[in-house]
Amino acid sequence: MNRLYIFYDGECGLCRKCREWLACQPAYLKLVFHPFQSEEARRLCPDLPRFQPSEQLIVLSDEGGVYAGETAWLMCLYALREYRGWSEKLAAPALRPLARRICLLVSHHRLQLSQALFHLPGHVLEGVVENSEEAKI
Amino acid sequence: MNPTVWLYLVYLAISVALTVWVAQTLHKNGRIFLVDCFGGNEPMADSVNHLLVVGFYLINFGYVTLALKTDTPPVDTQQVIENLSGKIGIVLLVLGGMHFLNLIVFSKLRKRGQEPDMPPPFAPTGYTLPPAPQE
Repeated sequence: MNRLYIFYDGECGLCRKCREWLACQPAYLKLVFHPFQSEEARRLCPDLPRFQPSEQLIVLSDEGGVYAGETAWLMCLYALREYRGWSEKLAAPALRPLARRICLLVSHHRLQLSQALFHLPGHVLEGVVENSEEAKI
Repeated sequence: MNPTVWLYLVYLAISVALTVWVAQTLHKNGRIFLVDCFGGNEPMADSVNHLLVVGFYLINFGYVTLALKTDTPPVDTQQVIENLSGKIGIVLLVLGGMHFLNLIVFSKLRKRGQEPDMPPPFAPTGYTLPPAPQE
């Protein structure tokens, strides 16, 4: 696995902030971001609507593995140099249900959170943002 | 020499010997662990190993020195032994605590060293066709 495609909600300010943060982090895997509403997202993953990207974050690996919901968030952590250990900790049976609940809560209230935290109105962002640092394994 | 001076001399001799023995054990056996943590980078492992041992010596000798003075000066051999036993017991506990702290540091470093090769901690939710590269 060398590359992760992250399909986020382009209308959500919180998701865009998360994308900006992820793109700045040193990573083991190359991260490619697309709003799930974009043409490029549909081209890369024609199956995308089946995984309900409007309800939850979707991450697709270059091997064809699809990660949805909390596993998608944990895969984002797994890709990062500084947070790979956290993905393992949070995926453990003791913490996984908590991680799932938090991710569900944040996903369901992401637009309200965007408004409350960043005062960001929603609009679709087109285009691709790739993180600048390649994996150095 | 009065019993208090004897107490101090024996206490220092035993504490220093114990500290040196534990430090040498850590230095010798921790090296293999550290070489593994740093992916076979031996100069780096040796450097970290040396720094850890220096820290270990500083903390333990610092504690041994601070704990030297006794509040109840012994007047006979029995009290020397009792006093000595209490002091050495605490030094042993401090050494044990430091030893486990070192092991925790070693295992954390080792785990961190293995992270780049770690597989994802869970299976994908589903599968689809691998994405075609961008044209």
